[in-house]
Amino acid sequence: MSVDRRDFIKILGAGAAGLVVGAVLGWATKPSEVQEITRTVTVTTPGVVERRLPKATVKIGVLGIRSGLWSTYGEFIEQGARLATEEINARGGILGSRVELVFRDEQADVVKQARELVDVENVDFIVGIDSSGNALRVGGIVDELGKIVIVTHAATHRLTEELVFKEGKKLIFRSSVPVYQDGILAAYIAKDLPVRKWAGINGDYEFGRVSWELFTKTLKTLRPDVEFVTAHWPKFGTEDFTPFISALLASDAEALHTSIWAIELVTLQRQLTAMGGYKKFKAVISTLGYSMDVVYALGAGYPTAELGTWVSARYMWLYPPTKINREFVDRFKARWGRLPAYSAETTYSAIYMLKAALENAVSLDPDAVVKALEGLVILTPAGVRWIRPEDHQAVYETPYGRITHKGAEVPLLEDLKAVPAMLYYRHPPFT
Amino acid sequence: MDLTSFLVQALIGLYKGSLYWILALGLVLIFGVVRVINFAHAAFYVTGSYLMYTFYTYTSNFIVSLIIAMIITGALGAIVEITIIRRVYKLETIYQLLATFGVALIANEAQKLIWGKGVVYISIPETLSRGVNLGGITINYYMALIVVTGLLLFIATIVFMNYTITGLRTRAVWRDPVMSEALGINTRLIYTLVFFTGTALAGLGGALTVPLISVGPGLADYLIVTAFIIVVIAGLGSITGAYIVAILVGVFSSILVLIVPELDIVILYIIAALILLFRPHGLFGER
Amino acid sequence: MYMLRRLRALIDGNIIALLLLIGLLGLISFTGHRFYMYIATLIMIFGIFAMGYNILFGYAGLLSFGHGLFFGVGAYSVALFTLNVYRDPLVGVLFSIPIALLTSIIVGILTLKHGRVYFAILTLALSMIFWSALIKLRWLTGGSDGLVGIPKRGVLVDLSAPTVFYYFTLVFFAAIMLGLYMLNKSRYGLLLRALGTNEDRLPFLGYSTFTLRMIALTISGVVSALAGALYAVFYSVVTPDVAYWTFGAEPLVMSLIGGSSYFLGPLVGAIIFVSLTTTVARFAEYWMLLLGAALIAMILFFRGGLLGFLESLAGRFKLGVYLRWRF
Repeated sequence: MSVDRRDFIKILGAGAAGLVVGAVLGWATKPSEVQEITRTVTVTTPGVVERRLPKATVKIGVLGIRSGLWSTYGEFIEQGARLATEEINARGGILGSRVELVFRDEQADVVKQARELVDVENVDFIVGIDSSGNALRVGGIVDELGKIVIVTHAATHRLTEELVFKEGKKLIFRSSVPVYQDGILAAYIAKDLPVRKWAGINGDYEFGRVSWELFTKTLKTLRPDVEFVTAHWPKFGTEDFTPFISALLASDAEALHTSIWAIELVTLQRQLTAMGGYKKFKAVISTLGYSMDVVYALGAGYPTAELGTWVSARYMWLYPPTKINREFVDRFKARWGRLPAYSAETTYSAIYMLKAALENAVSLDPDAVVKALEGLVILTPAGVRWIRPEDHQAVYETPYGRITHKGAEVPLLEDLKAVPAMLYYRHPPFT
Repeated sequence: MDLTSFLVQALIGLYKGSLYWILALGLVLIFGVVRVINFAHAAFYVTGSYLMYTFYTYTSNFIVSLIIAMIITGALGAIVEITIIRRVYKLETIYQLLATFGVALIANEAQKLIWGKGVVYISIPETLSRGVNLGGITINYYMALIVVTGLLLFIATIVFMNYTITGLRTRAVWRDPVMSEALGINTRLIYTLVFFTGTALAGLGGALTVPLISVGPGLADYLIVTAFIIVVIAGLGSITGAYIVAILVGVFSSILVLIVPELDIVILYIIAALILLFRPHGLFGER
Repeated sequence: MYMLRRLRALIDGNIIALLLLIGLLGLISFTGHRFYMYIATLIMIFGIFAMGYNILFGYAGLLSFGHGLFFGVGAYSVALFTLNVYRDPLVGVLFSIPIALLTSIIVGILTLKHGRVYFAILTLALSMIFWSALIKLRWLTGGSDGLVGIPKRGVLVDLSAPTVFYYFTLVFFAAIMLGLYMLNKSRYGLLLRALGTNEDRLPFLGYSTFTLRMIALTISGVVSALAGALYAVFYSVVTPDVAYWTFGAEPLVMSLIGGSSYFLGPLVGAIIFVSLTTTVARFAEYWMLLLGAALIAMILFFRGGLLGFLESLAGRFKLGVYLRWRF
C-alpha cells in the first residue's frame, strides 16, 4: 500500500475540517430529543483477584455469509472477530478468561445455526449477521436463545426500532450504523450539492426501498426545491444493469442515489461509466461505495463525477484520524494483508464492547451484561460509540467523502463531510 | 417517453437478449440431443468467465484467452459427462436434474477455492470500448459485438445441424437414439461431443461477458433460472425458438424497465406463466 | 370378526414404524435437551412438508418446483392472521387450512392440464410470482424483511415453553401422519398411485385424471401449508425466502433421499436431510461442496433412496417380506 504520509495527513486534515463543519451544522439544527451521554466505562484495575468471570473461556459464536456470491462479507466479519480475539487473548483475555470463537454460515438456516451455537456449542454471545432478514429471524427467537446477540452488519432499522424498542427484546444490540447512513445522511450530503433533479437506483428489497424512502423524505425537508425524477428497482442478484442505466440516462436527472452494494455495485459502476453515466450525472451518491471489496475491485477505475462520487460505508479505514484507528488499520493490514472492510471493524468493536461490558458486570449473566452494555461509551477505531439504552443501537458517525485518485493505489477520499450522529440517527420513540 | 429513448431501450434489449441466447444455446443443444436438463450449465458459464479472467490477465490477448477458456470449459464438461452424466441418461429427468445440480454445487465451491471470494472482471479491449452516442447513452462496440456473435452462433448452429454430416448424425440421434445406434452411429461419442460443445459454448458465453459484468463465486445461481425459463418458453429443444424467445424476452423486459420500473423482479415469471398457460408446449415446441 | 379383519388389513410395517417414531419423538422431550428438541421439531415440520409433497410427486407422479408457494401461504396466513385478526397461534394454524385449500384449487385449475415438464416450470413460475408479491406488497407482508413477532402465546393457547410447543407440533405431526396413512390404505390412495403408474388407463375405468390430480394437489397443498404454518409459529418470523423455488425444492430432495416410492420415504428423507445439513454446515466453508458430492453419490449408488437400499439389502438376505414398505 502506498498511501504516503502526505496523503494521509491531507485526509486527516479533510476529515478534521469535515468534523468541524458537521459539528457546527449539528449545533445549529440540534433536535430537541438529543440526549446527553451520562455514563462512561469505569477503568478496570487488573490483578484484583475477585474480579473473575465464572468461566475460564468466554465463547462467542460468529455468524456471517460464508457461502455463495456474498461470502466475502462473512470473511470480513471473521477477520475482524479473529483480530480482536487474538489481541484480547494476547493481553490476558477478559478478566483472565480466554475468548474463543465458533464460526457458522448464516446461509445454512440462520435460526438453526444460532440455536446450535447456543445449545450445543454453549456460546455465551453471538456476533455478526450480514443479512437483514437473518438478523430479524435471529431477533425473533432471541428470548428463547437467552444470549446477547450483537449485530454487526445487517442494516434494517426494524431490528432496533421494532424488536428492541417496541417489543422490548433487550438481548439484541447493534454495533453498526443502520440504514440511516444510506438514507438520512445521504440526504445531508445531497442538500449541499448544486443539483435539483435526482434519480435513484436501489435494490428491490427492504434495504433498498427504505434507503430511497429516507433519502427522498429527508432531502425534501432539507431542500424543498429538489425533484425526484425516477427510481429504478433491480432485483437482488442482478448481474447486468444495462437496461436500468439506459432508462436512468433517458430521464432528465442530474444526480444519482444508489444503495446497491458489493459485486452488484462493481458492475453498476462499470456499466454506468461505459454507458456515459458519468458524462450525464454531475454527482453520484453511493452509500456503500467505500466498502473495501468495491474499492479494491474498482481500484484506479473508480469513476469520479464532476461534483464528486460521494461514497460512504458503515466505517471507513481513513476516518477518524485518531491514534486508535491508525493503529487498528496497521495491525489489520499486518494480519490480513488488506485494509479493513467496514464489517471487520464493526465486528472487532462488537467484541471490544463485550469485553468492556464484561469487565463492568463481572458476570456472564445476560441481564447483567445487558445492563453494562446499555449506555456504554467506548472508544473504538470508528470513533466513540455510545450504546443508546432505549434501542441498543451503537451511536457513532461515519462521514461521506469524494472519491479521489491522487497518488495512491487504493482510491482515497477528499472533502470528508461528517454530520453528528445525533442529528442523522432516528430517535426513540421512532414515530 | 420520446422515441429515441424507446429505441435505445429496445437496442439494449437486443444486446441483453443476445446474452440470454448465448447463455441458453448450450442448454438447448444438450437438452435437444442428450435429453438432459443440465442444471450445471450456468456454473460452466461462470467457469468460462473465471478462466477468461485468468488467461487474459496473464496473456493480455483477448482472442487467445477466449479460445482457451472455451476449450477448457468444454473439456471440463466432457469430463463431467464421462464420469457422471453418462450414468444417468437412462434415469428419470429428476435424477438427471439432481445430479447436474450436485455438479453445480461443487463447481460453485471449487470456483471459490480457486479464484477466491472476491469480485473479478476484465476491462473491455481498448478498440471495442468506444462506441456511438445515442441520445446521451453510449452503446459501445463490445455490446454490438455480443449481438453479432449471438447472431453468428445462431446461423452457425443451424448450418451445422442442417448441412453437415456430423450435424445429420446429431439430428438422427436427437430424433431416435436407438435407431441411430442400430444404424452404426456412435451415440456415446455424439453425446460426449454434444456435451463438450454445449459446455464449451457456455464457456464462450461466460468468457465474453467478463468485460461487461462482474463475476463472483455462485453467480451461476442467479443465471440458471433465467436460462431455463427461456428454453422452456421456447419449447424444449427448439434452437430457433430459443433464439427468438431470448431476443424477445430481452427486448420486452428492457422496454418494460423504462415504462414500468417496478416489474423487473417478476416479469420473467409472468411471461413464462402466461405463455405456458396458453401454449403448454412453449412457443415453438412440437409436443 | 369383520372389524378385526379390517384392523389386520390396516396394520403393516409402515404403521408400526410410524407409531414407534411418534413414541420416540415423544421420548425426546424427556431428555430436556433443547437442541435435540429443536432438531426433532424441524424434522417433524419438514417431515410433514415432504410427506405432503410426495402425495403429488411419489403418488401422482407430478414434479412440482413450486411447493414453496403452499408452504409460504401457510406461513403467511398464520402470520397475518395472528398479527392482525386474532392473536392465537392455534386458531392461526387452523385458519391456514381453508386458505391453503383455496390456493391449491386455483393453482390446480391453472396448472393441471399441462404435461409434466411444463407442470414443473409452471409451478416454479407461480411460486416465484407469489415470492415477488411478498416482496412487493410491503404494507401487508413487510417486504423482504418479512413479518416479525408471530406470537407463541395467544388468547387460547400458550406455546411459549419449548416443551409445550414441542407437543403441539407432535400432535399435528401424529394426526397428519396417521391421516396420510389412512389415505394410503384407502381406495383414493390406490387411485392416486395409479395416476403415477398408469395414468392412461384411469379414464377407461371411469375416473377423471383431472379430478384425481386435483385431489392429490389439494391434499398436498394443505399438508404443505400446515408445515409452513407450524414453521412460522416455531420461528415467530416469516420471510419471503420460504416461497423461493430453492426452498420449495427441499422436500423433493428429501423424498428422493428417503425413497419416493415408499410411504415413509419422505419422512426418512427429512430425518436424513435435517441431520445431514446440520452436521455438514459445521464445516462452515465447504458444506455446499459436501452436499453436492453427497447428492451425486446418492443418485449414482442409492437411487431408491435409503428405504430402497434397505429393501434391496433385505432382499439379498431373503428378509424381503419384512420390508414391504412401498405404498
